[in-house]
Amino acid sequence: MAASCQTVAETIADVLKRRPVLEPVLRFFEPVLIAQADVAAGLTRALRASAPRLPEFDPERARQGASLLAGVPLTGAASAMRRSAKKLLPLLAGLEAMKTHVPALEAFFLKPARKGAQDRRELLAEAVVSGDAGVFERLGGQGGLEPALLEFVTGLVLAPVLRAMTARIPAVEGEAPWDAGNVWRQGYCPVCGSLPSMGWFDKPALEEKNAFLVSGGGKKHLHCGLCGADWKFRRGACPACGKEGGVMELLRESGPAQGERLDWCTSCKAYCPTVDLRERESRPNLDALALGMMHLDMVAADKKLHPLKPSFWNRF
Amino acid sequence: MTNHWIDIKNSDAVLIMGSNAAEHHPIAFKWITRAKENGAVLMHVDPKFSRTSARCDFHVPLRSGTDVPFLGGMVNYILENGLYFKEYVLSYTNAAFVVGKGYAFKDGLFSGFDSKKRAYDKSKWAFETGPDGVPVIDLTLKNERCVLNLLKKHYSRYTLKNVSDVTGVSRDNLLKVYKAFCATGAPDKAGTMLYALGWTQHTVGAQNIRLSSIVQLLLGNIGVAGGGINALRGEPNVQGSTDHALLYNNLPGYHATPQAQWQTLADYHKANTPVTKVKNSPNWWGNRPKYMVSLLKGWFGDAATPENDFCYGLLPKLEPGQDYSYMYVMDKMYDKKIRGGFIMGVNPMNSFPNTNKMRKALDNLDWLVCSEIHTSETTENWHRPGVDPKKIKTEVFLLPSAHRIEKDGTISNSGRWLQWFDQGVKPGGEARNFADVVVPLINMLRDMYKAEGGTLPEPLLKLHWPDKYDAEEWTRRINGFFWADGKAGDKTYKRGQLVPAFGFLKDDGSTSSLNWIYTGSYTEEEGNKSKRRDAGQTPMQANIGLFPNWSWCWPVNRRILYNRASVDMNGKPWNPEKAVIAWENGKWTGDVPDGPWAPMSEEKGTLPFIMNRDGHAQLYGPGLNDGPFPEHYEPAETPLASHPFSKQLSSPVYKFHTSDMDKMARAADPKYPIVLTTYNLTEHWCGGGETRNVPNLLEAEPQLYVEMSRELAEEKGIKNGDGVVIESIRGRVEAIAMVTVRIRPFKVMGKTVHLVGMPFCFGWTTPKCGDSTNRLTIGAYDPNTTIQESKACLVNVFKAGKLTELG
Amino acid sequence: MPKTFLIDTTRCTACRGCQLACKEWHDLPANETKQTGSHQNPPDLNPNNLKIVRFREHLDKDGVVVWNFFPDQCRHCLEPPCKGQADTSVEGAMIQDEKTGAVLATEKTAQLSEEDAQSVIEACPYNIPRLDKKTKRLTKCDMCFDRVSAGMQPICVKTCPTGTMAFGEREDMLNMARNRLETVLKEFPKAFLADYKDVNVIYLLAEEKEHYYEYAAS
Repeated sequence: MAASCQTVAETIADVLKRRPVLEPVLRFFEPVLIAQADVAAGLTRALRASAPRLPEFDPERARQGASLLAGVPLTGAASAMRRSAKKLLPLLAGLEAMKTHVPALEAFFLKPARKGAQDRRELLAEAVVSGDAGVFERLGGQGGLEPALLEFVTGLVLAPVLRAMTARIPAVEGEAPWDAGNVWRQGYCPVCGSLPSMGWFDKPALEEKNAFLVSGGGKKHLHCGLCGADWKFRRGACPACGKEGGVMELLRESGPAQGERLDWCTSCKAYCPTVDLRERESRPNLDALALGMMHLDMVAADKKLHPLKPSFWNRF
Repeated sequence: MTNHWIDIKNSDAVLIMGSNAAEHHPIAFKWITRAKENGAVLMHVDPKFSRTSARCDFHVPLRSGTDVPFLGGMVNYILENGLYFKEYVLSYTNAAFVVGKGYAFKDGLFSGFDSKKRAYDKSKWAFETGPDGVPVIDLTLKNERCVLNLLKKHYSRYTLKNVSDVTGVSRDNLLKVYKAFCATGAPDKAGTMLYALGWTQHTVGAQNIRLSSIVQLLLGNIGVAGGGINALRGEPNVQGSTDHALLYNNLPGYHATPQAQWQTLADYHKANTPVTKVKNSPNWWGNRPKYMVSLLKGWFGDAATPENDFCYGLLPKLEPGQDYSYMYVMDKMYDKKIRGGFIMGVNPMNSFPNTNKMRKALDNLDWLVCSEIHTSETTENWHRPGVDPKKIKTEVFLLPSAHRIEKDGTISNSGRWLQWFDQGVKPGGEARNFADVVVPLINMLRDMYKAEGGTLPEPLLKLHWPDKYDAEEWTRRINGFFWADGKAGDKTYKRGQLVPAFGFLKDDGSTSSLNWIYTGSYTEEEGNKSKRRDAGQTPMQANIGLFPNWSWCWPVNRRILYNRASVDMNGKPWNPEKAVIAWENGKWTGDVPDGPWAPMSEEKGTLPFIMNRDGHAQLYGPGLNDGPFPEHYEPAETPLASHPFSKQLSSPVYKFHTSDMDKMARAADPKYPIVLTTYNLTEHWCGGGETRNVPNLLEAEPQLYVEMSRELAEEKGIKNGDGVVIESIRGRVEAIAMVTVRIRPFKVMGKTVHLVGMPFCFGWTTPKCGDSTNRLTIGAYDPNTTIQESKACLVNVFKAGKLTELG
Repeated sequence: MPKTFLIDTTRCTACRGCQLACKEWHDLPANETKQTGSHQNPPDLNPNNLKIVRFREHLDKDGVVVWNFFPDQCRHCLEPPCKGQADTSVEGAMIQDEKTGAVLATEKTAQLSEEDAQSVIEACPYNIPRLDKKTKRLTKCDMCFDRVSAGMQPICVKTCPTGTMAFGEREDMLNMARNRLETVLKEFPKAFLADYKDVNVIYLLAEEKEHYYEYAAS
């Protein structure tokens, strides 16, 4: 992609220019998002030495719909998670609702593991990937934390670790291996199995060989808010239920927010914030933009639609 | 199209003939460009050098109406030089079939001709059969009545000299095209033919296409990637309207319209269900009763029962041999035999030939209902220039029509893909979709019948008819339902559920389908497949750009028709580099094959051309009304007094009318020495009824013009940009002269023949732009399809004094 | 580095999508035109048509028809002579955007005297600017400055279905132009890139400029 990628700060600055009302929320999460990006960058270098590693990409498994981390133990993730938590938890302490829980959270993420037992961080990480809510209920109960809160913070802490791992997956002919040859056909993430937090349409590309065929851009990609992977997906299909042809647009923005909208499924009523980058100069930071489009989440809630990927800001 | 748009990129030689692809398919033309960039040779054979020619490797000018000699010369070139694909031709076509002794061809006439009726007795052309009824096949080709031998003999007259003399194409140019295209006779090469109305709108229209199929079969180009015969169709949904039988002569799904002599369904089945004696021929039309009964069930629902012949008796029946096409309807109207009617989606007062007659005919109506976006030459006929509106009795009801972006529903593209279109915006004002006009209208009639009674209420009252039109529901009805709980394969289905494929349609009333070829397009398992937009495919499919998960294609999502002919007897692709299907480990891979059966060499293997009774493609085709082999006949109006192929100047069986306004210039008439061909251009769409109302398009192409050579202009004292008058024996039209090197005089039979070309998209309702070109064109029709010969008639051209039609 | 167009005329089918899209994006009204014996309509650039496709035909030495199509527009010169000329009378009448390289006629062109405006027009080696008699302003292609500033392609490029037009960073476009020329030369030995060192709208022409338009190249 020829267009430049924005940093978290740039995207937030852009969004605030047109939606100043979001200032308090965005300003609070800005350092969190920046810290996540920093941690991920740091870990990408550091992870070389320590585990875990992602298994090698297997097109056949992918064709059958198995994401890379499905059933893979995250043994060895604990130290990276600790490093991530160390940076992120103090930032969360600034949030009124979070303040009282920080000590309990620190107990989960910063304390060394008990000998003999599996590291609780790794248990939590595996639970995030497998979507096993029981683990959060059980461990949250033991540690005096709301399961939902524990799940949210685990995701926050785990994300930079997974992103560092995803970033190291080698490309195949300039594409992510799951995009090469269209092997990945699912609406969930080919790496960690999460549902996407954002969708985006790619920009026109200068490709001489295909100048008159595909140069218009507009292929749909989905973005994983957890591990940061992006993958191509059928534009008319719903990532949640897979139904073709039922995806409609809602609230397409014009002006500076050109191309921002919600794509929702007429069949299962799930929606996903989406940005059409064909006619935008730079590629926004998608995690920051997902947050910056939260006003659309409210409208969607009014219309009785439910988010494809629940986050703390779109659960009304 | 036998193939589809993307597939053109796989071609090694693209012959565009009878089409102006770049101007009429500007977006799809990219696949032709792609073929060129892949190394294909692009050829344009057409009377005029157009924007298509500009992007081809070369353009070959051809006198309009001489496609048969041009292609006949190619057949002769192939056979003389042994360039045909022998294994393919012998195994997959009827080349080795022996034709019966009744067949003969002499002086331009086939046997069985009745000059009074202007018709042939086609039974004379039958194949020879053995005592058991099995066709006689002589693979040694020793029998002189083998199709291939007759073909050789027939086209031996199509020598380079004769062809060049008649077509006006130089020998060099003929050879250039023949050599380049016939190189695709090699098993690993493919050539495609792209055509449109330039081939069909002739008194020999159907035979033009027949002959192209003969060439393509000889070269082994049918069924392969980058091959085929491809009619370029598009947004007007010609493919969909053909499939769904917009014309009178068939019912949806290519079934003959019932005729008076088939009073019962059993009669109908007997006459229309072929039986083969060739044991490895699948003879797919043997299934016709299942499709016909399912169609009746789709129309009449629970009212259709085995006891009442599934309401077959309620269908209108044609008188045998009668022509009910729109040309004949207009003739009857001119003859004051029609009092009123509906005209929708067409602007005959601009687009039909011999428009002066059409306009007068319409005056005879008491009432007329039109549904349009804009007023047109048809809706406004009663106050056209030169008539006194007070003297026209017609009461016109003009209903505002929705624009196509205001509707949802499917369009079948040229490659037979069924694609769903969402509604962009709601119709403005009171405008309605055609279906939202027709459905309530039928309901009103039903209500009136119920309340008041009347003659023959059953056809309407027994209809399985909705209260309201819904495009999605109609798509489901077209696919078809189970009307009784039943099974398809291992799966059980309940009454009301969708039938998964046409293989499960039945002739007992337990299933319905409004069009069997679309069964499978909307299923319980996968929903509305016209909405699929999935670019996923296997590497083998990706290699030729098959995209089987993008939309859906009839039949059964088969993207390349006759694809069993792309492999040898063992199921191995002739061209492994561009394999369409392949038999591997007892299974077909790639495209959906023409039937699931094993390849021919295996015990239960079958012949590839499953829609033909005997499984073979027909080099010799005894089905058309004008002969089993295409033969050159001059257009109904011709600048020649004779031609070298036979004494028969024009087709002995073309159709025409005899009213006082149906005049024809005689052959080589000195008053009308110039050939006129008509066409269209990028900037306007069809008759221009929509695009002339778009100011920016009218700015780019504002007025009627006539393209002519510099030589003709000089002869006539006409300068570029001058106002001119074009006259045929039927009418007079004003236009602006466009003097150009892109049209050149033809040397035909030793004399110079000039040709002029005009678009037909201008009409008087748009001020100052000129009026219908079709006032010049001729009411002469193909004997099979009754399509008009818009592409060739005779005119004269003069420099105009004062112009009245153009501002 | 400015933005650059590559217009490969060997791919153009003269569908005139660009000509119409330009009008529509700029919301310019239709002219009342007449057929004068050519498809080229309107016959010339004018305040309502900032881009037109020019048609020119001839017979080559073997008597073969050649029909060339030339989608004509401002070249957005690297050193625009129109701006140089305008600066001598009204500073800011013609400006050059630093970031995109777009050469723009501003509302200040209305302050140019008729003579000065004529001089600006004549300074253009490509015969592009036209005087709008109503507003007294000079009009010409603005590279869809509004679109390009917002990261979009010019509307003509976006519309083109044939791959004739490409738009991007000058360096990328120059590379693409050289590659295309190399390919095209095999079929058209006289092909060349018109004035590519001086302009940001680079035309790949298959033969001498006279066979396209007198002002196709300087």
